Amino acid sequence: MRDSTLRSFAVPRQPAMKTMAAPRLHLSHVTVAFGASQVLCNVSLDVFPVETMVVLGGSGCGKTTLLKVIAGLQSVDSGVVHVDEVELRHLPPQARRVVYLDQEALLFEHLNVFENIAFGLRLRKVPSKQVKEHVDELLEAIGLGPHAAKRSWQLSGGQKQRIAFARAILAEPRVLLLDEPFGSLDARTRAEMQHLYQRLAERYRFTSLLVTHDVREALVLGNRFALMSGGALACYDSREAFVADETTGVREEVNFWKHI
Amino acid sequence: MHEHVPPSRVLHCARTRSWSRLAGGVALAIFAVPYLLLLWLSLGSGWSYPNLGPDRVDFRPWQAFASEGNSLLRGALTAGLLSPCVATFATLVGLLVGRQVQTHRGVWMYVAYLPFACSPVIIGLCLLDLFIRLGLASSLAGVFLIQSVFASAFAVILFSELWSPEIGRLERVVQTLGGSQWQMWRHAVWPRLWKLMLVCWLQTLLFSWLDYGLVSTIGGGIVPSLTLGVIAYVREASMNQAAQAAIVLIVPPVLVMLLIGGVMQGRVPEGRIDA
Repeated sequence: MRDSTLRSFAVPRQPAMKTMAAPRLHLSHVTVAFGASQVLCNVSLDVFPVETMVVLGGSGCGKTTLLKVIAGLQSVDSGVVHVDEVELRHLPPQARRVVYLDQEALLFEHLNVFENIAFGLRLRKVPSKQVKEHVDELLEAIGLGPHAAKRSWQLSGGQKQRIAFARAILAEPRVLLLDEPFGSLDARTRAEMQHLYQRLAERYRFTSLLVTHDVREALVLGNRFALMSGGALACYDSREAFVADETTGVREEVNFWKHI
Repeated sequence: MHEHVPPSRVLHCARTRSWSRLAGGVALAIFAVPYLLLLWLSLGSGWSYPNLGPDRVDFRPWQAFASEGNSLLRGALTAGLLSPCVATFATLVGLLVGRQVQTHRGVWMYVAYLPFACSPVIIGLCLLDLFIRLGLASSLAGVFLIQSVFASAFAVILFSELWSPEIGRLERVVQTLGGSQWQMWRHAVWPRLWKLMLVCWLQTLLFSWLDYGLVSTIGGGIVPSLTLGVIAYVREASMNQAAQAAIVLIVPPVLVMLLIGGVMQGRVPEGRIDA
């Protein structure tokens, strides 16, 4: 039987609708500068519950800084960040319940697969029986049930990334931040991971902000879209608007595959 | 079906094995002889011309060593107290400051290398006046301080080169998953750095334990030290006492090295999160 820890995930996934709820994540006029260089310029953004907002952008455009600001790993010069209408400015990263998933899996070497996934629950001192139920369920969901006792050096890159992903989901974040999480994987594993992401997003109904430089990945995973360029963020109202904008590079990608 | 091996090849292999065993035995003997000689000399007392060895060989010198008020024992106890303190202090300083130096580099790296710009004895002599004015000369605290400067500088340089950026990223993982400072240390830093910390601790322990120059200048002969004892016995041609002091100087660090070497053989034992 499911515990309350995962009960919220059990509801069938509804399409994200801006009008249905207040934004889970709200950024307003966020500016960050490193010396004379402005990395984020007046960035405003809303992410609604149970949706995957994808921010597309090239290297060095400020995507990672945006995620670090939300996670509390980078201070802002001006602007506000709200999660569930609570301002985060004075909350340390530990108290935000915003999990940041790096491009690399970053598993704990001294823990096995089971304990790596259980990490967030153990920190919250969830009873062992419930931890086991949740981790076993998630291990099955990511297809790594038989690998529970293995250590990180016994796993492939794709398996490690699945575990990092499962660890993040089980921590029950209000917002899951994904920093090009599949960027270090080969094309085939990357496609598998994207498929797994879709299944898990459907099943566990998490709210996420994903940054990527890959147009295809953006279209496969996103419910809503934004484009980041030179520290400025442009949000799109619909998938069609995102595809129609020539600056996103979607058309170039489509044309490439048409004419290959 | 088994491969047929010609008898000449079997004989050749057996001979090679014998030679390698013999060579190993000789190497071991060459290595062990000085130590066995030291041990034998440490058991001796008295010497009459023209004998090669001591007049008596028994445990009396070691009984004298264990007796109250023995200067060698005081030296050993002082080094036994001082060296782990210096090693622990330097390792902690290296761990904390090394990370900052790695991040900011610049002038701090030069500061870390500064103690090694010239001989420790010269630096000790230069600082002696300051230590006298501070009332730290010829005191254990003074020796601790001066040894810690050199040991910490070494530890800072070591950690500044080897502190991996991946540790910082793991810390962020623990942080955003809700972990405290202690949990960040426990799960992100310790599993990655424990071997390096042990190596640093051992190196600085050996530096302090075997130090002669600093303890003689700042300690001024008042702070008892094993190295001072060995040199003094050699100078006054007390062969047996010098051998005994040398054994006391060598054996404890060798035991510590063996212990740490054994511990470092394995990976971090599999753990559970004792949050």
